[in-house]
Amino acid sequence: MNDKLYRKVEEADELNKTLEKRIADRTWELEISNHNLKKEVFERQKAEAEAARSREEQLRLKGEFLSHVSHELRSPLSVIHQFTTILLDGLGGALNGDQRDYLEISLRNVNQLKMMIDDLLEASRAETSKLTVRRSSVSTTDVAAKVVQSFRAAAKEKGIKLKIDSIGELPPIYADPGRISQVLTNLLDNAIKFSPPDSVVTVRMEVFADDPAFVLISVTDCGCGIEPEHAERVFDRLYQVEGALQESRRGLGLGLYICKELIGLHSGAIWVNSKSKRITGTTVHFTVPIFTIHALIAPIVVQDGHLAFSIILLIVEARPTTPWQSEHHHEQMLNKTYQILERCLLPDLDVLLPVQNLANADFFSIVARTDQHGSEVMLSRIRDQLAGNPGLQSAGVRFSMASEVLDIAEIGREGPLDQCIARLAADLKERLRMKITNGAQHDDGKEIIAHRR
Amino acid sequence: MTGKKLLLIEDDKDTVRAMAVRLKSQGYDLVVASDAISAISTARKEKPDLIILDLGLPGGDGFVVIDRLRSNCELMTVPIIVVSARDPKYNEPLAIQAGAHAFFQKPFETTDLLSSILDALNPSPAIRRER
Repeated sequence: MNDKLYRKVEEADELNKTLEKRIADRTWELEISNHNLKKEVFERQKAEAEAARSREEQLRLKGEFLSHVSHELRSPLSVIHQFTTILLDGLGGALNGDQRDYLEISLRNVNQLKMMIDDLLEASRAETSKLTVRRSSVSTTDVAAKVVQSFRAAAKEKGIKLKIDSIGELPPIYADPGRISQVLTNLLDNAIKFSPPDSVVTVRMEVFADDPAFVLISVTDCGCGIEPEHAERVFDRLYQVEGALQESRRGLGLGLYICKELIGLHSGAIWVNSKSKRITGTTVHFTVPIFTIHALIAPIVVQDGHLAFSIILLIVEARPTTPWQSEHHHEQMLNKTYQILERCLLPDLDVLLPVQNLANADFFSIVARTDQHGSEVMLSRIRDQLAGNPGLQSAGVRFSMASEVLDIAEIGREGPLDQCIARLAADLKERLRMKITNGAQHDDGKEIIAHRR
Repeated sequence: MTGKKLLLIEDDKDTVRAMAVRLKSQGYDLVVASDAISAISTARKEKPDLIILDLGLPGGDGFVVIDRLRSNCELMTVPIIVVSARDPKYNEPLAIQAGAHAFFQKPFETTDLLSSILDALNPSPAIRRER
């Protein structure tokens, strides 16, 4: 019995040893295979990094090449452009109708070529993340009106009516006006190109119903529309809808790609509606964020607690010496003052906030990205401009001003920026009112300048 | 006729010819320098009312010419308008910083250049960017 048991134990021992050996062998095999896998992963990662580096290098070389080529192409193009306009302006002698027509065709094509060169460069910048935007507070209506105006002649020639629809009160947007013009120019150029004669192209602007922090701008034409399968892809690089009108061949297929990149840099979106039973023609929509004081100041605040600029709040108070003759009269004074103040600002750095009426006085607030010295320059400029305006002086308006450096560190502690600015503005207004009530330093035609750090 | 004297610093003969036709038609007197070295001596000799400057020049870059003009006490106030094929994204701020009145990229709209010349020759009491 004991022998039997002993044998069984030995067998179990043997089995155990075999099993352990097999496990050790398998572990070893697994370790080798694991090592090989790791090596393979490492090699692949290395190859991928190498490929990425090489891709970047290729893009950089391509960018340099395009920049060089575009520079070399521009100079002769400029000479053709100059002599064509010299002839069209009659500086080379009188032209007959045919000659004028031919020269106008030349000029149109020169401009087309110039746009293509611009597009090539912009697309190459987009690929290497070198597209830049300089954002400030911008009136959508102004930008759109200027772009639409520049297309009036081209549209009229094709018998196309250009329409601007501005829905409701439009707040200013936080955008690079040059870039938004570039996007709108591209969309309108396409819209006019694809629209049949005697049709309408509309630019519509409104606060975006789905997200009221954005303005929605839409360009609608009466062209052949875009099939659903192309609707997404029209924003791809070099994409052109096959079988589209002959006219479309004039572009490089980069325009909408650049638009998408530019709108992306503005944190907006761009899309196109596709053809359906209900929809004819094409509408391209894009969104741009509405301007807020936060948007202006946020980039300065987040720079590692290190401020690129200081921020000044300036208040200008306008108070009538005698009651207003009429509401119209009051309104005129407000508009005049607003225009003068706007001329004293740097649009990409300063913001004029909406006018506030308090205790029979009007308060204009300016948030300016500058320092104490800059605010003094601004205040003296504003004072000169207001004092030099005969209309305002004869209307019997007294102006007083105050400025204060905004403490960014405190803003962080005190909650929302807009609230903090409102509180400081109220404080400044109160101090202005106190000085006027005390009457000590105020004479007609002179204004109080109060500074406080 | 304005009788104002403009110095065009430009090495491309065809561009010079086109600019000459356009500027003379507006009543300007035109003198031309075709490289960076003769640009300074011509400017000293001719004392122009305004300078139109290309950036890519034989004998030295246009920016060097701006620096030289700006450091000469006789010429430091003469307005300079840069007309170049180079990318305005990088070169325009550089030119304005160096003291140019305006920057135009080739091809440019003639009317824009002409009104900029008028503006530089007759500065309005408009607000300047002091900050």
